Amino acid sequence: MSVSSSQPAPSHRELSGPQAHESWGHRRLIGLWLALLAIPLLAVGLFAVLQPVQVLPRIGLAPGFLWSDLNGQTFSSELLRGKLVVYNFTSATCTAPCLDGSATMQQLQDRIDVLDTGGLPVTLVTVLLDGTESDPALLRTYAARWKADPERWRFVTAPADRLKQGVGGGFGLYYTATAAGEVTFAPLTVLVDGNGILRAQYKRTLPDLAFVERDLGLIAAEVRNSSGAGGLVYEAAHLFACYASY
Amino acid sequence: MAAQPIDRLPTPPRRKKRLLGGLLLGGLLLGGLLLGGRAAWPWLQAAPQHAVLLNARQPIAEFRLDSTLGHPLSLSQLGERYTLFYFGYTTCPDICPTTLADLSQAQRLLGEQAQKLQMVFVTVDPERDTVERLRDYLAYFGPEWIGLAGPPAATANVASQFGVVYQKQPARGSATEYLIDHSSVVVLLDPQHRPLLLFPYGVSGEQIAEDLAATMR
Repeated sequence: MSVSSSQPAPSHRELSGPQAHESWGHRRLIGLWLALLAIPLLAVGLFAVLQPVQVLPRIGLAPGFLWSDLNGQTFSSELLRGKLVVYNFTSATCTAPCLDGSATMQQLQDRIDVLDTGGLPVTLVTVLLDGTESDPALLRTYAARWKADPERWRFVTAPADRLKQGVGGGFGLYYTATAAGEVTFAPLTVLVDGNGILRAQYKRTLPDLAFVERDLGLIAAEVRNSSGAGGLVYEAAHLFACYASY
Repeated sequence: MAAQPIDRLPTPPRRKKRLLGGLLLGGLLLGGLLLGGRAAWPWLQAAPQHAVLLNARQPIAEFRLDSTLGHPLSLSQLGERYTLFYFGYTTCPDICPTTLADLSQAQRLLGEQAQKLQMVFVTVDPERDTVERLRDYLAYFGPEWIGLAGPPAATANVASQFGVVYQKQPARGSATEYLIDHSSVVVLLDPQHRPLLLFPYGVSGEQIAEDLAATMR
């Protein structure tokens, strides 16, 4: 048996009294929960777009190597754990039009004291692609040109086969060396953090010193601020970081 | 002038119902957000307490070495599991057996979660460590280990990818002709073979298990 079937159902506008109050209450509740849902989504979106916390990507593990300095002393990547390391790759025979990044390294050496790295030590490493087979005097003369402070800036090399494995396979720089000692390569500067992770690669051209300094600062800020809850913020920043290699 | 009708307030049971409904909806939304967040950002859940978080983007490049399984094994054949890599050698006097024991203890502590994990030992002394010798050695630490050995150049290549270096040192007056100085880190790869965590030497089995359990959830 139908009850009041002839009467149309009351429209929304026709609601009054307790029913209107209840409907309004429901809408308010739904609106409230939608807003609660929207707030984190909006926050995530803004975080992704505005990037209030900037990070350098964790590209990959830097290669382990066992090379030697120009005095023949072993120089291992293990010695660099816990330090920010700037690598550049060049040849003792590099003259124009060959692009030699050692000039940038020299400028960086002069500015290390004024850089804010949060107390993290910075080591500069120039890898001479000539290899230990080349004339040691030539390599030493090249290194002496740059007035490197041995505490901050090391020149290293290795036998050709080991160098190719570490530089080519590890750092992704492919180069050719002729029997006459001529080395052809594209400039490459690399930043590695204290955990041995590649954080920036400046490829094919000499890096802008300002970029290198900025990036060293970003790594230092991450180390300084990423403990506790700050770590979660930095991990979220890594999720959205989309920096190109320079 | 007639007085405006005053809406009656909802009766207490109705208010309670609404409150419960709201709480339920809120709980569902919050749960959804947490679950979604967990699925999207597993690393947010997995902040290691003892290991160094690597979370690298580039996977370790493919390699193939002889294995204690009786056939050559490539990285991709390890499948989509978490993989712990440790580099050492069988005549290593102290660090290697200690680390292997810690790792085996960690795996036991993981219980069922250990099924997501594969342990791999790569010898840095391929001249002396044959596959048979590796198999005998690893049997002391448990059946879960896979040992890998390869030619010196291939071994150096693989080790370098993990940031591991090693060098022979003459050992005068020792039963072994030489010792090998080597990096003593343990690297965890994620199922896509990307370096995820690095355990420095000295982290205990319990601590390793704690971080692995949080990471592999």
